[in-house]
Amino acid sequence: MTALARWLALPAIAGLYLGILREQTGLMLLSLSVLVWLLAEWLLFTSRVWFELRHLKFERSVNGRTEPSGILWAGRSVAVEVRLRSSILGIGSIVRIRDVVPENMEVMDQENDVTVRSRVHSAVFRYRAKVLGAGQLRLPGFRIVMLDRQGFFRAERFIACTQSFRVLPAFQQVGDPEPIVKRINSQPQHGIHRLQRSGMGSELLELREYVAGDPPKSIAWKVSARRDKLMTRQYESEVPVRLQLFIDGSIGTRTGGFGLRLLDQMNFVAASVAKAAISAGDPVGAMLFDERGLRRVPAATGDRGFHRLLDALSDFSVNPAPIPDRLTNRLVETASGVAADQFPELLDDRVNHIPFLLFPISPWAHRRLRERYRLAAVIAQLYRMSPAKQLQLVYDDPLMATFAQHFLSQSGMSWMEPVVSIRNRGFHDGMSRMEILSSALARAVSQARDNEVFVVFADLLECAPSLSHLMPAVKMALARHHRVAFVCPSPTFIRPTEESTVIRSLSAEDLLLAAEQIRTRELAARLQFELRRIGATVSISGESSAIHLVLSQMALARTGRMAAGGVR
Amino acid sequence: MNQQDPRLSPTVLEPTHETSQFGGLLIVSVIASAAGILFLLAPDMGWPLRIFLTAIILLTLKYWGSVMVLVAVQADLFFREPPRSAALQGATGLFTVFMIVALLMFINRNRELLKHAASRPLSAILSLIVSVFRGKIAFDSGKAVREILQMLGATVRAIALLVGCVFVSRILLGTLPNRRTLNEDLQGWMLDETPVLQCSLLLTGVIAVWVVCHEISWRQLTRDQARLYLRSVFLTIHHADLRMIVRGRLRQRLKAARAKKDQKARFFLQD
Repeated sequence: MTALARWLALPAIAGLYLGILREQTGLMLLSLSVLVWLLAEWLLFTSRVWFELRHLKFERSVNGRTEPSGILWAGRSVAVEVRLRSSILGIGSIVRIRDVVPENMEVMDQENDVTVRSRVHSAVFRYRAKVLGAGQLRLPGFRIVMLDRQGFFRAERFIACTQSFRVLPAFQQVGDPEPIVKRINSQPQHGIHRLQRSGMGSELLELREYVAGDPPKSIAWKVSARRDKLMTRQYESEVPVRLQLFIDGSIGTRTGGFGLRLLDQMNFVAASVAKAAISAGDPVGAMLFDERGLRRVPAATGDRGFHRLLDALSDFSVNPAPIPDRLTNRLVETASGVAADQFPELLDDRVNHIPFLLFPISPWAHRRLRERYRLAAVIAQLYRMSPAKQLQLVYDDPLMATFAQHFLSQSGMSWMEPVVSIRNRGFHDGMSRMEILSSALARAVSQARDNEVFVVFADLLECAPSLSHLMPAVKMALARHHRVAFVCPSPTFIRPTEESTVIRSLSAEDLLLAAEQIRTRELAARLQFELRRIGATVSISGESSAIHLVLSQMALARTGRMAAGGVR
Repeated sequence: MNQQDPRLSPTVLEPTHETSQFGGLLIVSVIASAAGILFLLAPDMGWPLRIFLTAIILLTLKYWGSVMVLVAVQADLFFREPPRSAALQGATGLFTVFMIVALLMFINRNRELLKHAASRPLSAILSLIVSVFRGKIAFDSGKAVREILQMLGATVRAIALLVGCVFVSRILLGTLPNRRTLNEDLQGWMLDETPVLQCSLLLTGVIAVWVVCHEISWRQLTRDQARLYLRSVFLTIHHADLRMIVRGRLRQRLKAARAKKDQKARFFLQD
């Protein structure tokens, strides 16, 4: 019963009572008619809920597939079609149906929320949505709100129709790939150096104009004399350049909305680079590290290898169970909101009783406690807890915080403020991140062969003071003639250049953005100075310039040049 | 040859934010009919006051629906209808009540439209009116025909419901003893005579219907709801004991944590 029905029933009862007292026939008849009308609407509504909702069946197809699991790509839009079928009686008006989508999916123009306005037996609705970030996407089902025409009664249900998808990271097909011909594309064994210099095979591939940095040995003197300009012989490269990606998935890179996380930027660059390398026949491997430890993806080539890497990146992008945090009102409110959205039938007062509570006296505190009792019951039901444990959820803040976080995380919420506390995370995590990265790099160097390019994707900006812990490993890799490139995504998605720090307007957003850019620029300058000093290259962005930086490093490794400036 | 059953071809559902083709017309009708009935009330009151009260009640339509209109009509009847008057008995009374309840129904039915219209800024409403007059708004005739048919069907159903409700009320009022006849009826009942006996039979019937409805509503529970109900009933019964145990455990844990902390501090100080 809605508030409107209650408010209508109140004057009707009062009017009936007064009419009987004063023997006013008109008043009595009008009031009683309103009450009978309410009763009739209730009977009709209850019968509708009883007959119609029981037979309601849904079938969802995502990109034309109805299977319970599948694969989607981040950054691409998907077409969703939902078919609903009912019994012979059909389903009448007014029924609002919403396909509940997780945060990782952005629906265009709210078209996942439809209303049945006339009696139908079968119906369909379609909408388009964009998948935001790599990881997992779970479509839980449909939220049904049934109303009577007058708005007196309301029934909320959730009909489960679960589909889970692995979301692979987006990648950019880098245009104009270099024509590389390889007769033999196998990695030499340890200790066997097939070529003195990489990219200097025995077979001539083509002649091209000299570029500063080309080895003098490769200059074709006769041709240069004929054409009156320096020409370089380009040889077939017989040794593949192995690309090793190091991807940081620590908590700092996972916070933020899906598609806006630092990890999403890193995934994009890593997948694009891997695609370009694999297209050229180079093997690509990865080291994925976070607070849980290190995971190695062996180097592989071909489409199969690429998809294996994407699968690994996708699994890695799924946010793990959040770190236990303190309980806040916002966490409880958010969890209650999600519970109301996905489990409305469990919040029904008829089934979710709250014991009599005298304390706290304050109405606000009392309301909060009641809300917590309700949420505890829903969580206890979902996680199959005992009644004692359910009550413990009410009185034990850390336990409630842990389960509320789990609940939100499993409901597809991103790691934002209610789920984890973001403030000052970077400073605490910096040291441990450097240690893990350092050991991963050392391990990769120990297992490396010739011509390896190490690309480190990590949020180093926040932990620049702890960079000294990483330096020995980087120096060791460089000493073994590997190439090391760092890609540090910026939190604002904008490359911290001179222009980006200009204040565009005096609005709060622009001022904050400019302040963030100035801070990022200072940190970036410091980081670049430290790393470039020892011979590593750095890109402070998660955009296409970072992809080109890594590809240029691979090109250098392939041609045998040490640097664009001609240092060998 | 291979003709498809029209029942199997699915209806394409519209997003919730899509509005009716006749939204504006319905809103105007609701406001006009509500204002009309409100102007008929309290003829002895001065016009400025009547206009003021009408305006106030019209402003509440968005949130309160027909509640304030009902209260206004009831207040008017309360103050103006003489006791035991024959004016509102018989066909006239039935028709008057029928019209008033129909108006209440009409207002409630279009409350969402009022809400939707009121949520838009004034400039948007004005520009909409201008574009309607200039003929810039596309009119989907197919959709309009569908809506007209739906409205006709709904009107027939509403009239049937309304007639039923008013007649049932009339019968109930005729059956139930009123204040004037209660003593005589009670005496008659003691002598095993009709009206109160009928009334008690009616009440028994109502209770029986209520029990059946209640049973039906309980049988609609899902498995999870049923489990949650059992869980919450158990918790309600044993709440005091369980709360004592849980709080005791938490207190012990807190004490243990404090003791551990103190031990660490002592160890640190000894070093």
